[in-house]
Amino acid sequence: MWLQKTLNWFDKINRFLVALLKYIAIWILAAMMFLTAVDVFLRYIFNSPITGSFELVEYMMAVIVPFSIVFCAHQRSHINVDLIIERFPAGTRSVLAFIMNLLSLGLFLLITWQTFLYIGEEYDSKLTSAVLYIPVYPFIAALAMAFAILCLLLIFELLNYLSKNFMRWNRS
Amino acid sequence: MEPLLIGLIGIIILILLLFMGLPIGVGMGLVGFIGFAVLTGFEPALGILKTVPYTTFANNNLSVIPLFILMGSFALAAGMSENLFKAVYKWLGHFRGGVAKATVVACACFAAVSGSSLATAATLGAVALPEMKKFKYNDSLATGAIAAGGSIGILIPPSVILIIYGIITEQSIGKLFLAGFIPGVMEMFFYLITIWYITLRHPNYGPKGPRTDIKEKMAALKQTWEVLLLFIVVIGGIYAGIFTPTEAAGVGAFGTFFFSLVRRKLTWKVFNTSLINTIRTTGMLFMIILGAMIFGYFLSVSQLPFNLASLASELPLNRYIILAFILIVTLALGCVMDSMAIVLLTIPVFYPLINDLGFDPIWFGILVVRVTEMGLITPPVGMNVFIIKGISGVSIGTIYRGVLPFLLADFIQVILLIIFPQIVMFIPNLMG
Repeated sequence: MWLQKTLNWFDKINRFLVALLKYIAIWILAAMMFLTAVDVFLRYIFNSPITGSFELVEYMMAVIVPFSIVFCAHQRSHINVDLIIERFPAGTRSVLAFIMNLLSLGLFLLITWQTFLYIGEEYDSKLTSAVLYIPVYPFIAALAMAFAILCLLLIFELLNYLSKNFMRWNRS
Repeated sequence: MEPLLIGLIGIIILILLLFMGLPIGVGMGLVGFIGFAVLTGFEPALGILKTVPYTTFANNNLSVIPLFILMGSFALAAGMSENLFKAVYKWLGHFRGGVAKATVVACACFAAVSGSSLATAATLGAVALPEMKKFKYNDSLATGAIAAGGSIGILIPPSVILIIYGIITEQSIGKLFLAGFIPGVMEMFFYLITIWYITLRHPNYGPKGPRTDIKEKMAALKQTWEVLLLFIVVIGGIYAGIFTPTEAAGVGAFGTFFFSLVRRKLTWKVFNTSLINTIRTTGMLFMIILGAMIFGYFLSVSQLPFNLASLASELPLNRYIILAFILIVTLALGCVMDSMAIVLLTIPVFYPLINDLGFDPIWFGILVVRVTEMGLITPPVGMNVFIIKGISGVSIGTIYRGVLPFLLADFIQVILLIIFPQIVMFIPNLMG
């Protein structure tokens, strides 16, 4: 069926994007560890810290954290309170999950929209870091991209739910 | 409508949404955004969504969180938790309940190189449980000791939850770390006493293990020197003022990376898995942090914490009664919620009140974290209990029965921490 096929494609694209973000995040994380450690050694032993390490760590965090959030969402590892919903019947649970995904999507769409606006603002303002003069806007763009992918993941969940129920209606 | 009332409605709606399964961070962000929009208008609320995510994530101080988690991941990969357990077991194994005692001590020691405790319970459980089965330990004691032992990690530095507390309340993370040390060690001794008492009453619950000679003991101990070294460098460095917490975290992560490499435990695959586990936890934590930041804006325009503080300080009540009330609320939330989320949710509400009442913020931080820690093992939702159930196959009811005596020890310790704040403040005061 075409709907299922489209969804499979959608899922494949999402998986690819999440895997990409995951690898970027873990490599920058490893780099951040080395940077912090080397910076400390150079500072205390050779008295010559890495120039701009403070802002480099800031920029690294700006990439690691949102990418990790997307990865975590894809793994369904974000914490929720499942004490009550666990006692509901499966049907009610999946309807609730649908509504909660819809609410999440609402919030993340707003954040994505605002973050995209923010890219433009910072691009125009030509704001850079204090020491190395690295512009800020690419990092806000990375953030916007991560939130956009998070929205895609949620849209997939919603469509998937709808298509399953659609098929069930068709059959009955 | 009164801002205060809107604040209260917001909190109620948040709790309802969370119980319906909305992820905690998303719920706080959503309710925070809508509440802020109701109180100040849609445009300013959108402004928050525009700037807060970037400023929250691109934060040098918060880089301690992924780095300390990474340190723990590498330490696990290097087999440090197993080595600790084996070493302590050689020293304590021949006592009654020796395996259980060794588990508790190993948990506490491993916490010294790990920022979060869930993984500790899981890995030590996997090593200690077969050993306890071998000696025909009582299931309740065996699983209870691991679940409780796994919770020690939150107080012993480095601790992610203390970092979060320090960031919301603008207290020194270094001081909080040092303040957590003695209560963490004290907790370990309380658990040892609990096991001693249980096995005194029921010797068959935890039979003695084999004796080992001093040579074996020393050989096993040698396997653990990295843990000691890392702890001294990282926490000692913070204490002596050589490192900021961020630097200490970077050095600690690099150190555990280095040791796991030298021990030839760090294959390419293990390296990858450690990093992936770290970003998973990082994503989980920062989603809640982001939500809490947005929610915090809403709380402050609703003036709820401020009003609560002035209301409570006018009450003709002893300030310790108010403190007890706050701790009971925290404990109740701990029964159903993750400890990180509780700290992020309740501290912004209660913190002004604690200040008004004249309690020390560092001491209160340790106290509140100590209480959320109990939440890891309280029914109905005790994360550690679930983990132990997963690896042992013992029923939840049996584990909760095993946890009960440890919870009693927890209560006694919290009361002692309240009566004798010096236990908490001794080391931070030395630091000046």
